[in-house]
Amino acid sequence: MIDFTEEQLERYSRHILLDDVGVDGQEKLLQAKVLIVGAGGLGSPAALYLAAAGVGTIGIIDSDSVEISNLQRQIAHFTKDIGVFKVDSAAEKMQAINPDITVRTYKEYLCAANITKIIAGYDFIIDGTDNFPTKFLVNDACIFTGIPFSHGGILRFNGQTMTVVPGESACYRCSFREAPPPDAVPSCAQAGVLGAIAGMLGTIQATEALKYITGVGELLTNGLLTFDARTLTFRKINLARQKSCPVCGEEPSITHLVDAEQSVCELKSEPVAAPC
Amino acid sequence: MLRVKQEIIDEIVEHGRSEAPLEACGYLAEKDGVVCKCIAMKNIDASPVHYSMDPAQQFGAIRSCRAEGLAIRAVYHSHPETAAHPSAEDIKLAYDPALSYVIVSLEESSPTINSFIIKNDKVSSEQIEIIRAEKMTTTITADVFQNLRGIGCPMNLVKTKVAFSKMQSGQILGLILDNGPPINNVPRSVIREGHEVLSQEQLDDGAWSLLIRKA
Amino acid sequence: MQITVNGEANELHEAEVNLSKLLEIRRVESPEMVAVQLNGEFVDMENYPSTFLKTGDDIEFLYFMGGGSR
Ligand SMILES: [Zn+2]
Repeated sequence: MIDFTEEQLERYSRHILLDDVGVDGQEKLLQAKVLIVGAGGLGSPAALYLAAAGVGTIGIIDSDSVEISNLQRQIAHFTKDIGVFKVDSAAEKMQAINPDITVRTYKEYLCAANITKIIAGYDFIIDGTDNFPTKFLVNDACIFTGIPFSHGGILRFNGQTMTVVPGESACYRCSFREAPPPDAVPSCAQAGVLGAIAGMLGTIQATEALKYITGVGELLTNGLLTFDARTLTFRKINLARQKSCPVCGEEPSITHLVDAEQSVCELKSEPVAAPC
Repeated sequence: MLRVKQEIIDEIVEHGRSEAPLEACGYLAEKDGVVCKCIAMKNIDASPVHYSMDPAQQFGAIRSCRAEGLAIRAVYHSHPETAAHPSAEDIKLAYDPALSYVIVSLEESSPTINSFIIKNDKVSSEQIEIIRAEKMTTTITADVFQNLRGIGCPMNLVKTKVAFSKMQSGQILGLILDNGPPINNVPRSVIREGHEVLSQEQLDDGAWSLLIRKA
Repeated sequence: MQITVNGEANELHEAEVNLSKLLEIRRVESPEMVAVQLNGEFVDMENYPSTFLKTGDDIEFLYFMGGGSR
């Protein structure tokens, strides 16, 4: 059992006061390890909230540097950070909010060769990646290693998210099978995105991570939550595990990790254009 | 030594105040060596400086005491304007050397009570021991004690929850909480979480002492 | 024919409608960016032409949505 310091008791008092979280829940948070993939629109709010919540170890992986066009929605980065690695910029803000936690930064592009090693030891993963090959890679690696994760995506005025508990609930491939052809994918540069919806979605993902760690409530499993900010309509579409799923089904065709064609593992310094 | 229950002291003072500016008088009856009954008598002198009891009422009081298994232990009267010491009149008229003479002075805003033994016009002062109501909590002892004096909401609840987290189910937490929002909120919250408040009583400084059994 | 699309009741006047036709009717511009679920089961894109709808079917279009890193 952790002996909370007076400062910790005050810092986390609003968690400790919650019947369902309490002292035990806060202790679990301080001992938890969460990896955030992507320090962008979704990763920024997730990283700040998880840091504030006292998640003891937070990993954050992104190979990009901050650009001025990011600042409209990637709220961990400030104007002074342009040109700085996103993970360094995010880590600085996380530590400023909460010096109590450990932040691990990875200035790498996640690919089949490094993902298993990087995600090992984390309790939960937040997928805030900008491209579909990496989203499927995160899904497959989590299924293989049994680490639960939160999928998230935003485009224009819409967002979607689902939580996957490997072996128990529907995975991303159960419904989406494989990455769409790159030429069909509209990127944020072309399609645009309302900045604040990154916050709406990233905070939902952070909430799922906190729920998973503390065991509070029911996770967003076997369901895809979608919203349209123009009408502010939320829908939860029921999803079920598919026997035909290529990775978690009865006869999986995917048995090891491979990089999709458009993956950029080889092009570390300059990743290909990807959505959002 | 005159042993008197706290509530009897309160009754004597109350009687004295209700009769002021006249003197009030009465008997104190005891059982098992502790004064446990105050019998207010009529001051037939109706005077602010001396008193006399009605003999008929005196006999009635003595009879009803016997019937209840009580014994007259003392005579009391009030001094609305003077100190709690026997006056010359009081000494002269103290006929019963077996009784103590209790005087309550209402001269100051907080009353003073003294007891005297008067034999052959000789006055000696007698110590009074006040017996407070027996507290039901005295038999239960806390396994863990937290003094949360000066700790406001919600940190008092946070600290209470931390204390519970280190205890076994069924163990008892003793708490001191400030009056006001702390006593209004913390017990409600711990009850909502299923713990049992065994006792709750206010201390002399206004703070509250609680015993809570962990769920 | 009465069907449900994305949780909303829909009346189809055509007698024979397959999934390819439904995507057309619903003006889905890039079908590559949509995964289709029919009565809770994933439908492979190559089976859209041979999958004909019947009254009471529940269809969900699940749109691919990216992240927010770049
Ligand atoms: Zn699956």
